[in-house]
Amino acid sequence: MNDWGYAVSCLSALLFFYWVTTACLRRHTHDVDDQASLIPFADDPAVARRVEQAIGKTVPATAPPAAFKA
Amino acid sequence: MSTQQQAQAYNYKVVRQFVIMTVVWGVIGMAMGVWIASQLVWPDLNLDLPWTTFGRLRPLHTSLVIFGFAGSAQFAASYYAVQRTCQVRLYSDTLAAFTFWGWQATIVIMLISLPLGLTTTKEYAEIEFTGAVWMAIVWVAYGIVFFATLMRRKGKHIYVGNWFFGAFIVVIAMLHVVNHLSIPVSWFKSYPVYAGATDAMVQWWYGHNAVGFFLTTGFLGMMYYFVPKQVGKPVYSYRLSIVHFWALITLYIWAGPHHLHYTALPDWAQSLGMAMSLILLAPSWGGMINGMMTLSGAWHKLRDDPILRFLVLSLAFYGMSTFEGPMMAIKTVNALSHYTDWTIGHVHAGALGWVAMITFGALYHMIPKVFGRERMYSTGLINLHFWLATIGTVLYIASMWVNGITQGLMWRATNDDGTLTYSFVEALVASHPGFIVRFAGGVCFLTGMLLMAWNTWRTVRVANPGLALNTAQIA
Repeated sequence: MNDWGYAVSCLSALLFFYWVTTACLRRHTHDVDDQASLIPFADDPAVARRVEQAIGKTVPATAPPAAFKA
Repeated sequence: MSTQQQAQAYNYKVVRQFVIMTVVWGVIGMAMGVWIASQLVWPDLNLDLPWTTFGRLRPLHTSLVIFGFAGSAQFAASYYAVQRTCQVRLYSDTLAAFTFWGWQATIVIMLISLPLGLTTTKEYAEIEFTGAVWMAIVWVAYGIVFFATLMRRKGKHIYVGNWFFGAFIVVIAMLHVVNHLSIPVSWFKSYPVYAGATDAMVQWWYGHNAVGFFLTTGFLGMMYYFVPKQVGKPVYSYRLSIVHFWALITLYIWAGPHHLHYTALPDWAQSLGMAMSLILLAPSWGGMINGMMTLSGAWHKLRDDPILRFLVLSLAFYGMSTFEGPMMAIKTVNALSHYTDWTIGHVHAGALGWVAMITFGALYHMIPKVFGRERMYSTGLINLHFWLATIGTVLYIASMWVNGITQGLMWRATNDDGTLTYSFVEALVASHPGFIVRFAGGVCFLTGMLLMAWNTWRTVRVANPGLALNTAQIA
């Protein structure tokens, strides 16, 4: 690959990064992020109760599909 | 366990197996490291046998700790986390069991073939053709188990930790296959299809991304699951974790040429490798900060939770080594550091400080859960392990910094008439005190690993299958 080829590839990678990150974050409201970040606690009721006390939010027992359109 | 119970429970058997083998390969691989470190202090310890010379044991040490210890740890952590975050049992018990036995067979192939001198000579890819093909088959099976489990998840969203595990599996498959493309001339001898600078570039595209994906991406998946669990709080910013993921995946793959500064590789490729390495600092530190900030409001837990201390210190070392790496990729810095012990110190800041410490934290979190115990046999021993590992890592990297800079300066020193001021042997003699300190650091780290093995053994001996089954029930 010559200099130009390498430069175009790098630029494509940066554009890919911008595009894919934007696409992933589209429709990601704070609520959706909050719910997603609680997934590790969803299957552990005892831990979920401690987390709820610590952060003042409800940990869903399972990840509710309706909240995750993003 | 009845069939119905089993269908509603997580597959902890394969997790338990990988957890135990992580500890076993950790002890053997690190002992091998201490042995070769001692050979540099007392050369007679090569025993005058071809199989035990530094040149043969060094690749065995790296293979055992990377693929045996770190690899088994990632199998265990990814199988554990993917089941719990997807709330489904692993896809296919049989295939999961195949990945366990298949992976252990791969490590045994390395254990036998490398001391015999059967090697591709490619760093971190020394396993010869037949073993490499077997390794690829096992890896594909791993991918099937992991992604099929993801596809059967209860919720729609895929937790970010699983994105990191998924990327680690896909990219390692690609790197392994491309770098191992070769023409076999016998069962254990082959020649690469690439030649010259191309071969070097492919090797370091692989080598750098072995660090980037085998020793970073999978462990970040581990971080995004185990740090929030151990802290008892969700990750600081879920949005930042997504940006972190895509930035890391996009940038890491381009940085390989920094391993080939001042070589036959075209200069523009070297400079681009350097530039991409510098940019890589941003996502690395983004992830580190995201992990650290998860402790906001919970820093007091560090006072009495040595498991959390392991996890947090691993992030500190991750931040330190991902700052040091881009700095060393700058061509003028690399002119001093390359081929010296500084590189060895940098690798171990990541390997001991980041990879091993986050593994210890994750294992101490998982072991009681998968073996049906409330906690590890001794919290005091975990604490002692933490301090031994920390002191060992600091001794190791500090001695290698001093050695590296000493060697770099001595090698480049010239007299007025242009001749070299120092011979290579004089630089070697100057490095001897550093070799002794490095050996002491390695002994500390290995002692900590042995304590972990003892603590694990005492915990596993009194395993409670009933409680393990209870905790394995899918909510």
